[in-house]
Amino acid sequence: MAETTDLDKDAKRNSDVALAQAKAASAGVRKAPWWVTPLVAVAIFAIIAPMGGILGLGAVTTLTTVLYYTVIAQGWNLLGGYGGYLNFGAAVFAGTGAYTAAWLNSEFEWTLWQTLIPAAFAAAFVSLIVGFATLRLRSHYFAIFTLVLTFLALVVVKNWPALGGAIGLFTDVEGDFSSRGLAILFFYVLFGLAILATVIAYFVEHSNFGYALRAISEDEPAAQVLGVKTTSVKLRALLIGAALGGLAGAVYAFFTGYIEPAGTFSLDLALDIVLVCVIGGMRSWLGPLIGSIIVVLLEQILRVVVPNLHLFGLDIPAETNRLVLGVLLLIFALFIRRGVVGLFVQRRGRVVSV
Amino acid sequence: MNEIVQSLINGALLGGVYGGLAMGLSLLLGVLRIVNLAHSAVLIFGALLYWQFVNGFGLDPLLMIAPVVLIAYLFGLGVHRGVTQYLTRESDSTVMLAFFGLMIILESIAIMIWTTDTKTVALGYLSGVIRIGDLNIPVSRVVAAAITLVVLVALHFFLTRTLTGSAIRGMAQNRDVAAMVGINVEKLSRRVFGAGIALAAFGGTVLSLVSSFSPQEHTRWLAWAFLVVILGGLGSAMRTLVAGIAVGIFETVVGLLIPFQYTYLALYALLAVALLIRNEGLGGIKQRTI
Repeated sequence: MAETTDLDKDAKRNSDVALAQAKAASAGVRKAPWWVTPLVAVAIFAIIAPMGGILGLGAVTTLTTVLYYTVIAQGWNLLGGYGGYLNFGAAVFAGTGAYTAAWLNSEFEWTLWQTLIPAAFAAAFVSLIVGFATLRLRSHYFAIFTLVLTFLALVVVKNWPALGGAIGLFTDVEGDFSSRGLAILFFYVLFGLAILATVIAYFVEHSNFGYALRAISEDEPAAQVLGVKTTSVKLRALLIGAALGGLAGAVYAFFTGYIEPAGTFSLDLALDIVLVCVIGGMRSWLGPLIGSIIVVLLEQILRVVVPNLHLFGLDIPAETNRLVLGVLLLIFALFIRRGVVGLFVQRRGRVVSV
Repeated sequence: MNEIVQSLINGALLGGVYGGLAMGLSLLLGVLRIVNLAHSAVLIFGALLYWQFVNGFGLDPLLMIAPVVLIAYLFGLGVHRGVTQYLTRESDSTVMLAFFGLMIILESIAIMIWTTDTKTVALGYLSGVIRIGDLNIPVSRVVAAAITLVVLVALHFFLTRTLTGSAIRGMAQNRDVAAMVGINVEKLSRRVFGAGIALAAFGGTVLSLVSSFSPQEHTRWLAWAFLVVILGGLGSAMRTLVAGIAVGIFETVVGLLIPFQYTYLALYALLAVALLIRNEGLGGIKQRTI
């Protein structure tokens, strides 16, 4: 409740039109002190860190998924969150990384560590093609193109014999690991990547690059006039995001041990990643971290609860999960645009339009 | 030679349907600046509803197009009331997030009701083949293309020759000025949005006459509709029709030259090239209004 009353006060103070510009200019006015968000992030990572050794196998796997989503979502958030260019093809970049890693592993027996860099490069290469075709245009062309790209990736990989066609590829981690040892290995690999991605996001947010991206999402022509090389900035953001997605995808290919086209290139991953960022908060480097925890836990709960609901004696199909996620996305897009983080951190420089 | 003529005819008929596929997307993008990411989900929903009427209840395939379109129109009005009207002043990305959510919702409901099976509409008396010399032309394709042609031509005359059409074009050019000269933009927006959704469902019904479809692969049709919109520009019925026919012919001719599964690759390449060359469709920025 305290939240709303504070907001009301702010609104009253802002109501003086003459002051509106000055209010807008005082960007970065926050409710919480500046060190709160970094502290929260460090606390989250510090709490997660020992969990690999403490928790049971199932819980470690769930946390690994959280970290996997964090890596991809941090990458997605650079262009999607700060830049306002929504990418509905997250699965394409992560899938490219996964397939690169799986192919190198099954064909040339490269280890997990060796495949990471090629996977990142492959995903970045794909993003470069996509970016060249679409990023000079307005954001909705990029959004639709990435949305329909997932289908193309699915068709191409299905018909590519070297990549296993419709059957898929198997991956194999070198060395003798117990199933628990493997789970812990992947947990810490993705833990490291999640920290890397979060640090990248933090530095992007506090650099000129990040300001340029935010300027693009506020008003792209104006940013261009002010000397922001918009296309190049967008391309770089997409590239970094895709590389992070490729890295995560590569680890994921080893994590699941088996990848096939229909599961890899599905819109479900795109939905999850978009949800992670929207629920967490699209304009904060902390958002994807918090969002992925919320979304993965929510999906786990849905997975357990929904089949046990025998509403009116009917069997509830599994698609109900997606339905709930879709409704959630719609609600957040309509009413809670700043996400969970936005509830605690005041938005910088509210746009004052005439 | 015959093979080429045959595929040209097939392509042109298919392309007419593609024009119908894309019109709803083009209208909403051109007039309301709404990127309807749920376009193909509505399309498949319309096709499934049509399938339910025709296959499930055994009703007449030609007569059942109208009720599907009407239901979609009412649904569109509902979506406008519940979602779209709150988004008129919002940024593109917020609108797209909302419609992506809507797409997921529609897709999930469609799969819950009709499962993921591939569906084919029972054509009944439309299943014949017209033979002219060596050419075989399926009646269903001719009918689907003809219905689309009638609808798009009617829409063209509606937009260019009537007062309401002028008002819609005015709103597409400048919403604020349109409001100033006395156009009730709120009411008109609602109806245009309903029409955009209805046209998407109409695209689904004619598509189901020429092709089988499945609920989870609908983004394929979004890709086709998007390609037609990029080639044809925004909001013009005639140019959308021409672009649709061009895409249809391109697809069948490419299908003759290279193996079937690579036609997708060729069409996406065409899409990428079209995006590279044109900023706002072949009409260009100057003609982005209807």
